[in-house]
Amino acid sequence: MKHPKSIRWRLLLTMWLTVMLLSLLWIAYSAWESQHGETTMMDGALASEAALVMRTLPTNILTLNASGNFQIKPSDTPSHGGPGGLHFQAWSADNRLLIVTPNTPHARFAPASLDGFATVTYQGERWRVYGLWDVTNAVQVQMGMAQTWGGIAVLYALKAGLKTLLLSLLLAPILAWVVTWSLKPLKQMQAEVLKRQADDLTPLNIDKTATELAPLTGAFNTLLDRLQLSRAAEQRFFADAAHELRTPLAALRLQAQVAAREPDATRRQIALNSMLGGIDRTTRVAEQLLALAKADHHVVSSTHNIGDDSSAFFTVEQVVQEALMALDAEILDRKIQIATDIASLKMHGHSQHSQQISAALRNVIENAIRYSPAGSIVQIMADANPSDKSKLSISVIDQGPGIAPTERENVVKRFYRLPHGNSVAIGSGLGLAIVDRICKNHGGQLVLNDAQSGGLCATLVLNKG
Amino acid sequence: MRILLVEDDIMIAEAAQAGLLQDNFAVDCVNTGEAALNALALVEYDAILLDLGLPKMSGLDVLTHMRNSGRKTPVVIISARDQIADRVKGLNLGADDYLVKPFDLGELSARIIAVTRRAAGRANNVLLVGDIEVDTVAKRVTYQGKVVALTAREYAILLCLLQRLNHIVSKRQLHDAVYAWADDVESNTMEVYIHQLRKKLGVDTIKTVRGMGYSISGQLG
Repeated sequence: MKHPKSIRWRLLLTMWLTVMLLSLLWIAYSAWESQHGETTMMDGALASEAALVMRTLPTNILTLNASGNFQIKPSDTPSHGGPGGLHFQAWSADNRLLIVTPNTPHARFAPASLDGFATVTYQGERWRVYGLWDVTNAVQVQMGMAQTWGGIAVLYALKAGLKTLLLSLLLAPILAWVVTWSLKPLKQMQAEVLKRQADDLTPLNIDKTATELAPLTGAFNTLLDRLQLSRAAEQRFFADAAHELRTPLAALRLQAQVAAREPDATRRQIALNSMLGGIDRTTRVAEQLLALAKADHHVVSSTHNIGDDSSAFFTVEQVVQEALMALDAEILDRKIQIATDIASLKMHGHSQHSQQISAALRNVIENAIRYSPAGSIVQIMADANPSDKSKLSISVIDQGPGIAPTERENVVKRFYRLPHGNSVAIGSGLGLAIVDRICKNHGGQLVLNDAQSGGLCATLVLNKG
Repeated sequence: MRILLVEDDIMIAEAAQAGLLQDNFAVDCVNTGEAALNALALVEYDAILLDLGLPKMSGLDVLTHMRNSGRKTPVVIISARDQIADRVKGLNLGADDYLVKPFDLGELSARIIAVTRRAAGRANNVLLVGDIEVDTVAKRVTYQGKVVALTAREYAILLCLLQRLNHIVSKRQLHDAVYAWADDVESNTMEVYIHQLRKKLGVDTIKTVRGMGYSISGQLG
């Protein structure tokens, strides 16, 4: 078949096969019925003929034909005795054949006990026989007729059946048209989806589709909705990312131009120094965007890699050391004291996992340093999670201003910045978003709380591996 | 000319301020919309540089607020978002020009001068009053056909007086036009500048109106 999966062909085939089957059944039924009708007709004839013969038998038939049989001339009974015609035999109670139609065999049609109708096998043929005894039980008439299938009635029925069959063949194109017409809404929907632009995510008009297609259209529209949402988020991210990159670049350009135009050597030096700050900042933004892209990508790969080799592990201490090493300059610059209390904990995973976690931790510690007063203490503590043994927590506690509970949900959003009047710190607006992402990649989350000392307590909750 | 720079990004604000200073503008910097409205209530600025992406009160809010309260100070929008819709919205709300980050300092200065010129109702960049001719783009001043060398402050004071031709400009107004908040000013400096200007442009050019301020009279040529 050309389209084994086509609904059209399926419908067409099943409908046509059903019509064929029904017409065949109809033929069989009408054949059976006409056969049955013929039998009834035959029975009537047999019974009435038998009665007629019984009545017309001479009363002295028993003595009249004591020696042999007394024959009827073929011309007397034109409808009797021929092929396909009625045959009769009259028997005495003592089993003598009294009279018989011409050309009728002399063997009994049926046993003498027969009183009524019977279908018997007589000389290799099916016969319908009616046996009738007289009142005195002296004479029995057996009226019989060879019964052949495919009598005139059956033939007639078969003819009618053939007509039905022919009609069903003629029905095929009509069925095809009906099916095609019924499936038109599907075709229309297909056409509507096909003619769409690749970026057209507006929902399909559910009012125009057939009732049966509505759930499909609905599901399709839901998918479109989800696509639209994710695309909007993507576009927002790109717009934000462009904005975030453009801002430090704009600053950098201005700083460079100021330096280039400055005739005074001292002031030029100041301008060049501020340019260095601009370059650092641009670099940081680029790094953070990259880190976020990596963290986003990591979701797919992380689960596989850990499972691959369970023997690879690293310690939390290593991760903390790595993060602190990267922040040496900032720690010195702001005269921050770092106090660590790290339990000896192992985490399963490869170096890329330890790098990710240390990058997350670095972001959190960097924030702590940035927002803490110069010369204050930043505490880093790590321990197994008390409530869930499969997890561990790394907390960074500072003495900065903290984050208001209402803002805690916002600060992990991408490109969100706390509205502050004196923005001494210039961040990328991505730091905590990256941390949150990485924590989630490692089966945990970033928890922000008030520290007892008054600052912020940022806790990375992570799966041990 | 005194400019108000409304920008929340510290690096951009500092660099733009330094650059505008090189071009002899007096620049005040604020980083929120609320602070911008406060500053506008205190000082008569010649132009405002307005970033749109401000925390809380956005640049467009500031603009709406300003124009609704009848303040006609020319506004140049600076924004990192280059969507046309934003630009159109800004201009419809009463901004005079639009710059997309990153921008060139030279272009920024030129646009500030252009919007102030348009605000003063002039078609070109040359001011001609009597014997004095000022090219506001080249910042070149000629007196009786000869180029006169003026310091940045002197130039700013002359421009302020010329822009309010035949009006008395108070010492306070001149002060506002020349100095940003951060500048250290000694009390008698204004007299010193006026004296210098008179020496370079003729004694009668700038009249002193006792107890009121200074004025330049004449016909715009």
